[in-house]
Order: sequence, then C-alpha cells, then structure tokens
Amino acid sequence: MFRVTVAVLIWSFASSAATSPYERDSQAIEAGKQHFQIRCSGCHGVDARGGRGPNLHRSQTVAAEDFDGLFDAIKNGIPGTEMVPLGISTDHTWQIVSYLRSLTQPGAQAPVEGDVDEGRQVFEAVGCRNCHMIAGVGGILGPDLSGVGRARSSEAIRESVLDPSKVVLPGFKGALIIDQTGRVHNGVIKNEDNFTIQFLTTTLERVSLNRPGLRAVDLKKKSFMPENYGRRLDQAQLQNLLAFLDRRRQPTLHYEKGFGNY
Amino acid sequence: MKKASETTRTHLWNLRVAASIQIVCGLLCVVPALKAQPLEPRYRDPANWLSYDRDNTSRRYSPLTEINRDSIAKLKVDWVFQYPRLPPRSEATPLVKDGYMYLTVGGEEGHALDARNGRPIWEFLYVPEDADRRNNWNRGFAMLGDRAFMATSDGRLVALDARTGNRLWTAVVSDVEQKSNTTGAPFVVNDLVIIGVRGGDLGSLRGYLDAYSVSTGELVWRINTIPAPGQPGHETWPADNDSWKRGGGSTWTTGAYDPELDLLYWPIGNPGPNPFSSADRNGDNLYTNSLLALRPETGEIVWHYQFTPQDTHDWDANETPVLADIVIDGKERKLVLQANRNAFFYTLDRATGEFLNAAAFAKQDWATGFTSEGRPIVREGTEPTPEGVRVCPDINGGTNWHAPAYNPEADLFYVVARDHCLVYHPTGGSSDPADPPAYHALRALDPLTGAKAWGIPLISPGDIVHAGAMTTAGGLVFFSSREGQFIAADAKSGEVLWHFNLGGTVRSSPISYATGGKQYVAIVSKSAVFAFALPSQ
Repeated sequence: MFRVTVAVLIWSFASSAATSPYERDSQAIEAGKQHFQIRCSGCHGVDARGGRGPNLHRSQTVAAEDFDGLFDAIKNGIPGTEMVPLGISTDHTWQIVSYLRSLTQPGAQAPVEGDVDEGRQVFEAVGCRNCHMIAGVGGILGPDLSGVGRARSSEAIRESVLDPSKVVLPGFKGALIIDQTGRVHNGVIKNEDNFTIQFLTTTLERVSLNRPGLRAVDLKKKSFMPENYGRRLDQAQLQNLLAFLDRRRQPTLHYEKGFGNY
Repeated sequence: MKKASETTRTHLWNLRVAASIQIVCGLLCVVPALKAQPLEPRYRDPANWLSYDRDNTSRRYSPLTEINRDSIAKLKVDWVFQYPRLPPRSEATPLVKDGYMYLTVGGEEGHALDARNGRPIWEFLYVPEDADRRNNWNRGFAMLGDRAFMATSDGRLVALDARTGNRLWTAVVSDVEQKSNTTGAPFVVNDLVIIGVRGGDLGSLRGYLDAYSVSTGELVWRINTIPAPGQPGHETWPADNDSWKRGGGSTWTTGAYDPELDLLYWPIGNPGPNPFSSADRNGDNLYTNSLLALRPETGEIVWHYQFTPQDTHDWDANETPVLADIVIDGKERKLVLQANRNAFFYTLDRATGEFLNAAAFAKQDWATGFTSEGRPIVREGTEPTPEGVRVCPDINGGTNWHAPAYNPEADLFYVVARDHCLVYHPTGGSSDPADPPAYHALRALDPLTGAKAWGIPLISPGDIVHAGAMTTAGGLVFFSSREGQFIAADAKSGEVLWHFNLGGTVRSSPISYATGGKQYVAIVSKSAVFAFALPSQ
C-alpha cells in the first residue's frame, strides 16, 4: 500500500531567499548526485523517484522558485516526519539542491502514458473507491490517493496495484483482535504502543484498546486490497489506471497513521 | 445605568434535555443539575465537546461532575501530546467527539488523537497555496458528524474526514486585495459552516461573514458587515467619501446559535480605515463593534446592537456572545451576555436585541452611563489627539477574544479581565509611564446586573493574557495565567482549589470531556496539549 509521505512543505523565512552557489554547475550536480546516493537514496530511491520517501521528481519543494524550502528540508529535516536532519554540511546540501533541481527540468520524468479518462473509468469500475478516497470522494479503509502521483514513484504505484501485499504501509496493516470481553475486531492498526492499540475496523468503527488482557492479536500477512487486479485488468486498462493515478497530484501532506513523533 | 429588576430569578427546566442526558449519563453527570438552555440535540451528550465553546450556547459549560470540589485535589496529568512543530501561537481549543480529540496546531496542521491516552491517529499538514499571506495562528476545528472543518493559514476553509484526516473540500474565504485572513474556529449551524475573517485593522477590509455548505464547500451566503449604499445602516457612514469600502468590521471570533429563535449571533470588529481616527468616517459606523443576530439560512440581519459607536480606541466587539435563559420578574427571558472589549458587561434580550443592562467589569473612564436604549453616554475628551489623551481601557481592552464562561448553577459569568489605560493618538497608543502595569484577574459577574461577585488575580510577569475560562457542573471554573499556571476554583465562591504549572504560554481556553467512563480536563499550551483526570479506581 502507499505509505503517505513527506517533503512537500514549503517554509517561508523572515530573511530573503537564498540562492544556490552552484546553480547549473555541472560538477556540483554530479557531486550532489553522489551525496544523494549515499545519504538520501535509502528512502527516496536511487534515482530519486521515491521509495519510503516521496518521488522527488514531482516534489513541489524541489521545483519551487526559491531554494529556501528545499535547502531547509535537507539541512534541518522536516519536524514530525521521518525526514530527520542528517548532519549534512552546508556545502554538500547546496550540491544536493543542485542535483535535485536538475531533475525537475522539463522532460526529466515524463508523465505515465495512458488514457487518463479511461483510467478514471477503471478506477470506478473495479471498485477502488470503496476503499480509497480521491478529492474527498471514496472510502477510508485504504489510503487517500489524492496526491499519490506526487507521493510515490510510478513503479511503486504499479506494484501496489499488482502485488498489494508486498508493501503495506503503517496505518493500514491488517489484524484480527479479540479483546478482553471476547469481542472480535477485524481491521487495520492505526497506531500502537506497549499499552494501547488504536484500531479502525473494516466496518469503519474506530476502537481504542488496552493491550493487557487482549485475548488475541493476529497480524495479517496480506493486505486487505484484492490481489487479483493483475488478472482482472488487461494491459490497456492497467496502463490507463496508472496514468490516471499518476496525475493525482494534490500537495497536502497527510499521515493516516499515528506517527512516531520523531 | 439601567438595571434589570432585581426580583426572583430561576432557571428553566427542559425535561427533554434531562431525559436525553439520563440515557447517556451513567455515573458521570447529575441529571437534575442540567439547567435548561436551548441546546441543539447533537450537543446533549455530556461526554463530548463538539464546538469551540462546546455547544451552540457558547457558555463553555460542561455537564460533567466526576471532577468536583471534593475530588479535585486528586486531579493529575493523565497524558500529554507534544506538537511536532511549534506554531507561532497556540490559540486552539480542541474538540472531543466519542473519545477522539481533534486539535489544530497553527493554521497548517491538524491532529486526531485517542482522547483516552493521547495517542495520535492521524495528522493533516496543509500546504499553503498563498504562502505570502500566511497568518499561522488558529483557534480550532468545527465538526459535524464525521466531518471536521478548519481555517488555514492562507485564508481557506478545509473539510476533513474526521476518521482519517482525508481532505474532502477546500473553499477560498479570504480576499487577497482586502488583506483578510482566517484565524478563528468555524461554527456549524444546521448544514452550514460559518467562518469569519480578520484584517479589519489593516486599513483595507470591508468585513464579511461566510456560510459554506457542509457537504460541498460551496459558498451559500456572504454578508458584508459594512452596509452598502441603499442598505440599512449605510447612513451611519459619510455620503461624500468611500471610507465604508474599507470600513473594517471583521468577524474573526466564534458566535452562538439559538435553535428555537433560529438566530445566529456573531460579534463584529472595529472600524477602519483608521481605528484611531474617525475624521473620514463621521457617524456611528454600523455594524462595527456590534452584535448581529442573523437568520442562519440566508444571513439576513434580524437585529443588531452596537456596543461602541464611532470607535476610535480599537475596541473590537469580537468577544463571545454567551446565551443564557434566566427568569426575571417571573418571566422567562432569553438573554445574550457579552463582556466587551470596551470594559462593559452587557445583558441583552437575544430575541429582540433589547438592551437590559451594562456594567463596567474592568477599569474604564470613557462612558458615564447609558441611555434607556443602550447607547453609551461618552465622556468629553476621550477622542485621540496628536498630543495624546489617556483613556481606560487600553487597546487590549477590559477583555479580549479569549473565552468567557457561564455556569447556570452558580449563576455566574466568568471573564478574564484586564485593568489598564493608554495614551491614545490618532495613529495608535502609547503607555503612560506613570500608570501601573496592566492588572489581570478572573472576575465572576452577576449575569443580570454585572456586579462582581469575586475576582482572582492572575499574577504573571508577562503582559497580555489571552487565556480564557471553562466551567463545569462539578462546581468548578478552570482558567490559566499567561505563563501556564493552570488553576481551578470553586465556581460559586472563587476559592482556589487546585493548580498545575504547565510550563509554557497559554493563549487558549480549557475543555472538559469524558471517555472510557472517566472525565478529563484538557488545555492547550505553547508546545503541547495536556489532559488531566482523577486516578483510576
């Protein structure tokens, strides 16, 4: 599933916007790419097209007019998210900025090909909306997809459609819980700690549970998302669906799981 | 000053309310103590706090009684949630519905927490579309069913699915050219979410109030608080200039609603373009510094009462209108109470707008009395002059936007009041070095006469206090000092019973809710929200 992501915040500063000392400097871009591979690719993908972290080819922060937001996100992290400060020097940060800026030049990542309107039909017809919301319409058992084209790489989106159980995001991991009274709860774990579990059932009931005395907590290995879309959709339908999802680019940041308050 | 008759007062019973409370109550509340007020059905569950001031009466009165005079000594911190990012100001009131807390942190962040233990459920981070005009302070959500609504730092109103934080719709409320923005908590009436704007002091706003469809975010109506030529009230602006187009009249605090009268009450801010000089706006300047009673379906103004005509002291009337039903002379009167910026406490008939009483609750020297219609009799020599003229109260007022509360059992209105004067010039104000520093206190007032029953000083090195009050059927009133000393007192006598040092600035007002069979009191502070409860049995 889609782990909803980070790095689209724009921070405005009291001081005037900084300018990169290395803009369009090809050596700096190459150096930035190397730093990126070492420090950033673990979350953002080797090609910066996303992984646990968002697709930086589509990032509003990366593409913004002034560099402050991007510089700050790299240097100081983004509080309350998994993008923590990594102690990267100012100079290296500017080099990474230059590398990332070069990615957002026109043509750097072409939109996913396909018929977007046909893809919308597929989305409706196979019932995606039962669990997923886009632009305020749809279900809530699965992640909101309003910004999925910005948040995830195209490969990750494709994988989630065809093999949804391979990566299930926090906040959407299924479980069957039998509580202290013997009542059975089937759904997803939104947050948990040593003492409590915050749960959303498949009937969309929110349940707050104490851990001590729970009779069973069976974690599901599989996602709630059907695994047979690869068989139900032909090539054209799949491609059109991916094109439709690629264009869902709303910039809101949104954690649908209790975060760890890093 | 005209006073209401001082004969027997009683409170109305509302058996329907009592009956519905009984069903949901259990051990947590005392049914007979719930006095009648026109509570809408959705606010009747005593466990919830569903609106900025709890419910449509805006009394900030919780029917819960588990925490009371006898048990409060054992009140302790139950959980804390620290915000991931520090907002410039933490002015929000959290909402609690069915065991989940909804909190805004500035105008770009919203959280849902498990209200039993403070564990986060979801986080919504708003990316401003208009980054240049961010006003990143915010007073909280409004809710209806599974929808939560918040104003954003760049003047939008967003609707979220309360269960997951998914964004449902976005409406653009503020006007770039008029330099308005949205900082207040919205307010739900029927199927509309009402939101006002700030910016009346900035010299370019013609104030307005908006109503959006809960389901679609479509603008259903917008009313301007400064009437246009041809509209009633426009005659209180000069005919020979267009100062009315920048006449102020902002709407940035949260109102109240009476479902039986079908009236929405909204307080209006001070006039522009210059708050301190009426040279180009000679006249009463309606509807600035007024309380409007509106038909919620259309925004039609049914009645208005103006607190400070032709204001030159920045005395916004953006304070909470509190609804109370009190029997006067054997007759049920539906009242609206307001402790105003101008240091007077007003008692009005909320059906008609009839002026019943006004009494100073803070230091003032600008009015010597009121006519029988409620027009202030203004002392000579209070107009700002270039040399400066000293007037009380100062521009922070006898009180400000922070919440008052009304306890129907104690029959007392609580306001955090300020005594301070200022030397006013046509360009603004300056302190008089000879004046003592500003003095703040929680004051308990009689709702009909405004007489002060008692006061509790708020001692704190800082100056402005924008932390308000909350009161409960457990017979308590909760309030804070600016620095975070969170205090509970006996609602009737004012005896201080409990306190806790939150260790950070408080610029908001507390709530009380219940979940899992337990009552909590919660307060937002600079970097965290704290929830207090009695120890579990």
